[in-house]
Amino acid sequence: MNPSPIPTRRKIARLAVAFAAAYAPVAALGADRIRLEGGESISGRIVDESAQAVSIEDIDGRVRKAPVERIRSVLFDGEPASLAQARLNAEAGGYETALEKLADIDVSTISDERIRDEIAFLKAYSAARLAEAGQGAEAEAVKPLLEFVRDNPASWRTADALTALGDLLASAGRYDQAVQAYGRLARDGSSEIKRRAAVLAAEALAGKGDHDRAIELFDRVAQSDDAADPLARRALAGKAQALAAAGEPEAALELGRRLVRNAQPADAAARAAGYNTLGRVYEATDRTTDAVLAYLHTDLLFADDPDTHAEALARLAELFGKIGKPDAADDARERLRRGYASTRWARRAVRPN
Amino acid sequence: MADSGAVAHNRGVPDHSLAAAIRRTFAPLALVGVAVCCASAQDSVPERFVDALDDAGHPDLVAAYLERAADDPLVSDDFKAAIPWRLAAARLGAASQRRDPQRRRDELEQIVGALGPYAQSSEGAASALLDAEERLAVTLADLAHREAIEANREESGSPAERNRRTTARRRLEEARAALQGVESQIVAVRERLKGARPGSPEHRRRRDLGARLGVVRLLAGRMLYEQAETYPANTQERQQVAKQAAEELYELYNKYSKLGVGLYAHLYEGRAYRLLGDAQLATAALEDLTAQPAETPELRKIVSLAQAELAALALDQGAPQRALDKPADWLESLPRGETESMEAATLKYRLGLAALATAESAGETDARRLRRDARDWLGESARVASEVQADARRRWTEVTATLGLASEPPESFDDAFAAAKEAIAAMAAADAALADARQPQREELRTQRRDSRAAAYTALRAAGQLVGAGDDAESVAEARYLLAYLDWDSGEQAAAAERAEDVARSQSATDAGPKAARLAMAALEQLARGGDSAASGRLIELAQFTADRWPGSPAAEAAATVRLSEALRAGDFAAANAALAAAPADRRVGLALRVALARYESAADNDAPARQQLRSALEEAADAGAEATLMASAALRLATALLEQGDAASALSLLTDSAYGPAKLSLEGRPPGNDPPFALAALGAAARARVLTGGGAAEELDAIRELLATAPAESTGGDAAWLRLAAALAGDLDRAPQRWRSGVATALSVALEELNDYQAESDWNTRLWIAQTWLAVSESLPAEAAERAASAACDTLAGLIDKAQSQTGYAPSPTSVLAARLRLAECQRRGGDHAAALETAAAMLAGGRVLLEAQQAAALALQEWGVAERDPTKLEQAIAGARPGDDGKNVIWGWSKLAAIASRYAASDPARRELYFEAWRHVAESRYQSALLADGSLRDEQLDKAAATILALHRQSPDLGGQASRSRFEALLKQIQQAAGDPPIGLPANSG
Repeated sequence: MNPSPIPTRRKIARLAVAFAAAYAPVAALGADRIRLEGGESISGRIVDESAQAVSIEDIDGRVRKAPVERIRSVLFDGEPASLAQARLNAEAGGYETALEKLADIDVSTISDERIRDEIAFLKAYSAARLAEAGQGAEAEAVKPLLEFVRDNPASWRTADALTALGDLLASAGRYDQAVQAYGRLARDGSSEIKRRAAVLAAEALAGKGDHDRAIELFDRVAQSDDAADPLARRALAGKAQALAAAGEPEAALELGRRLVRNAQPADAAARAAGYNTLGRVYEATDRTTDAVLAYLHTDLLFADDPDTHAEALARLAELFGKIGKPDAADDARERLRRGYASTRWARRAVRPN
Repeated sequence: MADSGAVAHNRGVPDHSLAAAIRRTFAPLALVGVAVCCASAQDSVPERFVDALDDAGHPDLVAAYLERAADDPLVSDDFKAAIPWRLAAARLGAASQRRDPQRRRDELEQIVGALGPYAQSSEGAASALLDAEERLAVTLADLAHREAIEANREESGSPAERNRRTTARRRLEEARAALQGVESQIVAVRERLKGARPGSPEHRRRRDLGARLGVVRLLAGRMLYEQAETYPANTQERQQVAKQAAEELYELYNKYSKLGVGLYAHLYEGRAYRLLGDAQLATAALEDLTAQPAETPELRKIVSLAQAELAALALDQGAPQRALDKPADWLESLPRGETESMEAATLKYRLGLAALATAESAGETDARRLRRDARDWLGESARVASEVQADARRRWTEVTATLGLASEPPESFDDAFAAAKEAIAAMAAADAALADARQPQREELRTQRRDSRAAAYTALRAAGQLVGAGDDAESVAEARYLLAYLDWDSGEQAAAAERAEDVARSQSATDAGPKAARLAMAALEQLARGGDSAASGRLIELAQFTADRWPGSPAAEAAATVRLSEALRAGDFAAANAALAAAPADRRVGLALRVALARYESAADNDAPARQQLRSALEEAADAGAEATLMASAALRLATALLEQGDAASALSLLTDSAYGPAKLSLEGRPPGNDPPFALAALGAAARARVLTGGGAAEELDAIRELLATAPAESTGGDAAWLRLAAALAGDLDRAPQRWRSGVATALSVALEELNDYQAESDWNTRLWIAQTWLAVSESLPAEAAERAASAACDTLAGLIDKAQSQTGYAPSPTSVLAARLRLAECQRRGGDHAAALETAAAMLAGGRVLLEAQQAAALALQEWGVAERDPTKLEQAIAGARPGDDGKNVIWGWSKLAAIASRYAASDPARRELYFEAWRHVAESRYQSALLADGSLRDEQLDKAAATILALHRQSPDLGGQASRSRFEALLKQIQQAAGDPPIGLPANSG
């Protein structure tokens, strides 16, 4: 943890708002809310915020600290209904709708700076995600994110902003800058965020073709070899792909198989991740039919996890055509569109001519 | 859980059999392909995956997966052990879909054979075996049924008819026996599954088997009925068998009276009684069915068949009016949409016959009306695939011809015109019937057509003379147009063009005008093609007139095409582009594609702009939904070019496009894929594209085989088509990336297999090419397949050499034969047949000529033979030579002497120098291999000698014959050092 030693002007203003709320009548307390991963939520009054955690005082006066990696969203007292809807849309991948809802809000009428910052973040974030999927100009999307990070170093949203920034830069092939963004994410982040940043940076390095460094970073995260740990799985999958690209297909395949073997029978996401990894490795080695069969394992047997299933469908939509099954490709594309329209996979899927 | 091998029966196969009808009608009862096995296997990912692939409609991927699963570390040994039978089961779906029933039978027999050995040890295999046996039995029934229909079409009382009936009877008996065998097995399995918990897989399996049992029993009963039909009328055998069939079918009806199977059994029971001549019992059974509350389309189909049978029965009894009344009412009552079914077609056929019979005793007017009704019913029946289709078509032709021949001279234009139209309809009927008629019926139909044409011509000429001022202008123009059409039909192009152009210009306001213009253009085009330059000028003028007079009409489209064709024929692309610009807007995209295609065809092979223009035109045509035929031709051209450029993925995408893909259209038999040469080219290209993108080409290769078996050889070139494909694939094999070579080699080996008979009759060069290609294939295939390929190469070479010996002049020169012998020795050696390789090489040496290549081949054969059989004597012979001749000297020199001989010329001849080092390396290698077979001091001695040979040579020539040769010596020396327990340091470091 490395919080900034000197509060910025904006941070001071934000804390002033929090203090003002602290002296408000008791009836008004409990209007802010933190929604955590896993469904739990804490209501009360936000009393502190940093890039690592948000602290909230509940109705009994207890202060609880929520680490950033556990926070799904923060809702502010008095925020416009459109903001709440836009936030939900953005969380679900509906970035166009989120931007529409945010455009309806007249920011000049909002006095709570926290809410204005949240609106600015969501606008920048949604635009960046759309640009990442090729639905917007990358250069225009980068700027608001950089501004948000610059102006809000103590915001819990900084991690999301840096992640989106890195992802956008990587998708545009600006791998070195992406690695820098992820490096900054790691610098101020918790150990868990550091791990996430390492995986993302490794993926960017792999994209750049620097497989040795990518594998080194993947190895750091994958040390636990815990199949139930999504980050470790992603690191292993990334390593496998990097190995395949580096001309070590057998080692890559063995990693993919390890992911499949280590997955618990009931853990569809883990098994799907394993088969998708095999699919990617086969693709990297031009074994199209093998890749199709690997992705079909996910599609036909382990389709419960939306992200892995969407990935499998997106890949099948492309690969079926290559093995002379255009109808199956159309079917996969259609199921991807119907089932996972707002996912990055559906956005990136190759469209028919 | 569904068994992996269980696939719905005959999916996608046009099948007019009773079993198919029952399956279509009572689908829930007829899920004959569904099987259940191995509840314990539910946890297995591979098993679930195979089932899921099958359920998802990817049976082809089931096979692909199983082939890979054998080497997949994620797959359990138990599953791997089951792969052979699962692969056989996976072929079941595709085999059941074969359109050709004989091929279907052959493949199913192979599958039954492959599953048999596993059925005892695996419940899944047993289940798949039962499926396969059932499908085989149903296919045998289908074949027998077809044979019986063919027998009925033979001339009555002819020897051909007797032979056919005998064959049909035997096949019906065999099919019935097979069905009864399956029936017993299903009964036994159901007995074992008795008491299964409702809802359990076993319970579902038992229920499915129950439904299948009914179908199998019904088919067995039907086989008996059809057997009875094969005996001549009024014979004791026919009576006995028909009676037995009626009784058996009645029992089946009683057992399944509430189900479709039972109702069909009752229908056949009625037919059996009709065969017996027992009209009362037949009527009773059939009226049972017509009295059913026919509330569903499925039940109405059965009632339609029963009404058809009742009509036939009434006709038998000489009551044609009765045959017409109720059945016609029933047909009238059928809802719209159910009158095009196979069952309705059968009923219409019977009604047509009844109407014809009724017409026999009716007055002239009524008779004509009844014959017209009969023609309509028979014509409609003839358009639907059914058991009576061929007969319906034949009778339709007859009655149409009768109607078309007017018996009295016409008295007015209208009479003459009506008679002409009847006669022309009769011509069309004869044309349709000729399509699948046999001799002598073909001759009869041709005569009918000629008579009808003559009658039409006479009537139209009469119409022309009878025309008066008050006659309808439209009809008059139509009559003149039809006369021109008859000229055109008889090859009188000049007369046709004259008449039709006159109608087009002088009667352009009538409906006949644009039709006549098209006809005139067609006739003029033919004349122009025949070299009539005046016709060519007239054609262009008429096309211009047509485009101006009927803009946007089909005639204007034809005119645009004509202008374009003429321009393209003249190679005038500027004129073609002008014609294109003047063409109707909605036709322009298609015509532009034609221009692009013509330009591409006239351009050089590597003309990129022409190719790009064709590609763009194709894309625009596809976007505009243009005619598939032209797009398919363009796509085939482009795909072929892409294949040659190495872009197989893009080629495959074009070939399999869902709208115009040439391969897709060929597999579906849709134009232009129904044209054998086109289909061959498209399927060949698709096979190449598939293997060059890592896929399998089994479907395309199967389709090519089927096409060559069914299409006339003059249109396909027969087996030479395989040679063309093999040549293309051989080129692909050279160019293909390593990872796809095995797939290309597999497809190539299929093509070469098909050339087995062809090559025996081929010339020297073709046959030698085939042999060499087999050898090349063997280098790219996995071990077992490689051995088969090498063996095929050997066989081909051996055949080639034999023929050269027996047929003077077959080989281009004696040297060619020697070269072929060397290749033979090489492929025998590669195939592991060292003894044969040695004999082949030794035979070349017996003549006394010094053939170093033959000596090398012999030494190498001895060496590899020694290793293969762990025989140190042969290894020694490889070094020192073997087979002393009359002079005591070894005929086979061995590596030592080869080295000595080569050393004499090594300084001046690079090839000899290479041989010199190679021979010494083999000496050392043989010693090393011999050491590995020995123990103790003998082993040490051999290793020492081997090492000493290399080191001595190295001292003498440090470069050891060049970099590659030196590396081989170095590697060998390290092996020797390692075997001797020394550090593998290789050659001395300070040299070389």
